[in-house]
Amino acid sequence: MRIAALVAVLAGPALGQDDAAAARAAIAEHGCGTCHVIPGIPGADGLTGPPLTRMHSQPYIAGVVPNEADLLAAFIMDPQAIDPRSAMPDLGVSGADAARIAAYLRTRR
Amino acid sequence: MRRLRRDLAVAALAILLAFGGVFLFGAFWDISAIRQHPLWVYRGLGAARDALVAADAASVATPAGFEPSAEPAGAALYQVHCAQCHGGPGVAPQDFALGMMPVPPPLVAAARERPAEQIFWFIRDGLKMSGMPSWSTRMSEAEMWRITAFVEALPSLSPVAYRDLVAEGVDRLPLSEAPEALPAVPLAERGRVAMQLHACRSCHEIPGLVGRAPLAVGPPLGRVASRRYIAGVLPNTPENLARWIMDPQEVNPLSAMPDLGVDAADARAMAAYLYTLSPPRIEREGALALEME
Repeated sequence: MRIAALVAVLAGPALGQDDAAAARAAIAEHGCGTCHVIPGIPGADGLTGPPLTRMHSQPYIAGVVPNEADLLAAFIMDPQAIDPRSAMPDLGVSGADAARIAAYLRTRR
Repeated sequence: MRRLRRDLAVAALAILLAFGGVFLFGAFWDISAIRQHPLWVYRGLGAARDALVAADAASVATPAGFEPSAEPAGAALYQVHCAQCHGGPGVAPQDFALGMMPVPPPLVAAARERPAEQIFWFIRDGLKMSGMPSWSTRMSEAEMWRITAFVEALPSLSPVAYRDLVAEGVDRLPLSEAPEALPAVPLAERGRVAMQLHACRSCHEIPGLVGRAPLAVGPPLGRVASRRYIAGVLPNTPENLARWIMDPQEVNPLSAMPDLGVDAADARAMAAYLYTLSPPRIEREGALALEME
């Protein structure tokens, strides 16, 4: 599963159906939608943080680092490691889930 | 006969549209700055510009007692704000301005060719699709009239006299004139205009301002009033929003948002505008927010 996720991330923005489903499950499990508007996730209408609808094309992650797959996964896993002042909490997201979620967000839909 | 006329009109319109389409999309029109217009395009654009500027500048009211004036403060303002593009007597523009199209004209000619209202109009309102910015809110109206008076006096100045005036005047900046009364415009509208003049729309999608879309250099600002956090770091209050706008790096040294030199009054106005765009957070969450407080 971990290797599959890594391959999915390295392969670029295209995401298979299984990976998308796994990513959506991870997003639901960690409650991301309570703070963010997220495309393709029913009920994800949070206004605590910014909308994630343009993560496939926006230049920056959280306004502080370039939008690259590995940096996005790292931010999801440990926001304060990327930006110590960020209000985004550490939700204990595993490396595999973070990679999946990052790939999902960076897929244009 | 009527039907023939109508058919001819439709045919003429169709030919005109076809010609326009071929002209624009058939790469007959060169949009680069390095290749000049054909003379007829250049003259036509100039004539259109002059007619439109004359019409709009007719509503400019020259202050009582206005006259051309070559004095040090006006010369210094001119040197600081205008000379980098327009040059001056014996002074070349900066390199970047020399490659522009249209190239900024020498203003000693403008003084002879245009009335003072038009010169003031150019300074205050700027010109679309040229490099001439609007100086509105960046300079007071008094400063803009002072520069207008100086430009009107340029034809009377030798290069030596110009240099001497600038040297004398540059120590007097910034001018400590009495602060101008703010125009009677609602604070939120003033904020919207301030956002336009600080190019906020270049990075953020903002309702009420025209610009590129989709655009996500920074997050969309349409619902910033409803969010819990500003820039993911500060609790959302009007004061914090103004604080962020004025000095992003003070709030978060890592932020890619630049310091655009927004003063306190403009930052407050911008925050006021953004707070009109969506329901404030407390209202939206209602009882839940009170419970958590």
